Amino acid sequence: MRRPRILPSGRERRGVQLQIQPVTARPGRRLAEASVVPLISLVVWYALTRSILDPAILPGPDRVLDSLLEIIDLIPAATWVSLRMVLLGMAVGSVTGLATGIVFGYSSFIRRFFEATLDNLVRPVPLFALIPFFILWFGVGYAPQVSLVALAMFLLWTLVTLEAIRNVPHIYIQAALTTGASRFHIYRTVVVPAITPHLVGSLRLAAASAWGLDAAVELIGGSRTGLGFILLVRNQYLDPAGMMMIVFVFCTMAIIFDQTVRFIAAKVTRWSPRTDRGLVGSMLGN
Amino acid sequence: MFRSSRRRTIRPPARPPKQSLLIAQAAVVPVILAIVWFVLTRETRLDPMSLPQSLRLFFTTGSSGLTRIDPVYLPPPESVYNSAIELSDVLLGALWISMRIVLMGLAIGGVAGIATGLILGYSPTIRRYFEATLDNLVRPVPFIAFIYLFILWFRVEAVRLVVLVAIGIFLLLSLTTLEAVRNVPQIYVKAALTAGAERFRIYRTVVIPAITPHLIASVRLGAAYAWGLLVAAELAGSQQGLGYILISRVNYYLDTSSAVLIVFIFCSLAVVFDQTVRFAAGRLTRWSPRARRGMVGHMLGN
Repeated sequence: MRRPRILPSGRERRGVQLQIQPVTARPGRRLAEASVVPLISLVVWYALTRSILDPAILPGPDRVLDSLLEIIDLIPAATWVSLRMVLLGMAVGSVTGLATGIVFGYSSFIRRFFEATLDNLVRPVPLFALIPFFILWFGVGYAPQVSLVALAMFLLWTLVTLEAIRNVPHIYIQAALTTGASRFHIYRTVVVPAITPHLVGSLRLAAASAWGLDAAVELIGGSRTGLGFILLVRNQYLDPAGMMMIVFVFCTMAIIFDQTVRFIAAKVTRWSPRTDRGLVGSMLGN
Repeated sequence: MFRSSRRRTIRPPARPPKQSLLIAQAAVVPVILAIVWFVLTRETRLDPMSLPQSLRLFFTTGSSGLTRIDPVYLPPPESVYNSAIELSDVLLGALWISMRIVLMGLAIGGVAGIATGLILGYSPTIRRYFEATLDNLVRPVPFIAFIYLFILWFRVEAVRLVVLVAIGIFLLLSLTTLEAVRNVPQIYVKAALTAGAERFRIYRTVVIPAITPHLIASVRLGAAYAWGLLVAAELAGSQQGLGYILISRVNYYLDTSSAVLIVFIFCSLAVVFDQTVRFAAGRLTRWSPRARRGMVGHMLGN
């Protein structure tokens, strides 16, 4: 049995020199370090396709670039179609979802009727399973993508908002009650601002899942004009380089979305305590 | 502020409402939805899809405009039941195939993801090299878009589906684990440092227990996500599994009642999965402050 030592031994004392170091390295260096892995992956990819892998299975970056140049005229229009569907679905679903979440958070009466259904029966449903129905109900075109993305965003935002309201620190409400604020007043001036950082944080998740859903619906045949349709056509032509290129366009769009959201989030939630991150790491001395 | 002090006082309710009342209230919406479904698919009904036309017809010709929803669009409950009886053998086999894939993907991706997240949380050097790539370039990517490439790369269907599910779960869990490590309250670590614990020890005895509730929440999210990925992958090109039966029933036979049945199976599987994880989570994280929910609501007096 190990006896708890009160005085640290020499080895441990060395280990215990845990000061809070400034974690902020120079941005140039950080960028260089961060780009090591992507660059290595790129080189490995290229080397693999040059040597052992059949380009009909995994085309190299050079071929992907070639096929991009080949069908470059089709890309902007298709990207615009997909982008518009994602944005429209996100807008509709997010607004309705936020409103619903806020109403649910406000009224326990409404919550008692709807929350159990939403949280236990509707939330775990794999929305992807509904794709054939959405295509059947709304027809091929814009509608299945937009409506499925909107449904997903609605569910996500309703539950995220409700969860965020539940996690508002007790003390905020107590303080507001002490100053004599009314319920609606507290809701408007304390609860809603307090949940904003969580909501902005969830926006990243929302953006990513919106692109995923859009891609899935398009690939199962919901659209005749979007990026997914071009991918299906490339698949018919047995053109893996073209398919990969479309996948990269999807990825690029999603990454741009994500970066935009992060930028906005950093601006909006600068005051939030969650922004001083990495402290545990720095306290642990690394 | 002074103006509002005239409003009614706010106090927590004396005791929570009875359990049976809560269950009854929660059951209202599902029951209503079931009734609406039943009524809508009866023989002659007003078709909401063509409501404007019906109204126009009513006002111009005086016809009642009563039609019936095409059972292809919304199959009635009894035909869903019939196809359940008809297809039960096929469905059981497919269910087992799909379930095995989800469980394997969840296990492989989950273990790898949590381990990666813990390593990333422990070592700033590894984090400096990998985190930006994972977080900025890989995380937002829609994995579903890779399905057709995966069909090319992995010829064996089960392997392909397991890989897809595992990658999705891996990414989700590695990043949420890292996020959870970051959000461990400073005070815990400070207290442990004060007590003279060393780094690895703090990590093992303070950080890992502290992130367990978050991890369980992520596993819950991951389970739902795994089902979603599997369904999408099966819909987009496979030769077996529930998703394949779903899409082939719709595409080849226009047999939407079987499709509704399969959607129900997916839903109930996901619900059962979710409730299992929740139950386990409730046991494991009883100590967590997050278990005391609904406080804000109570304090706000509703």
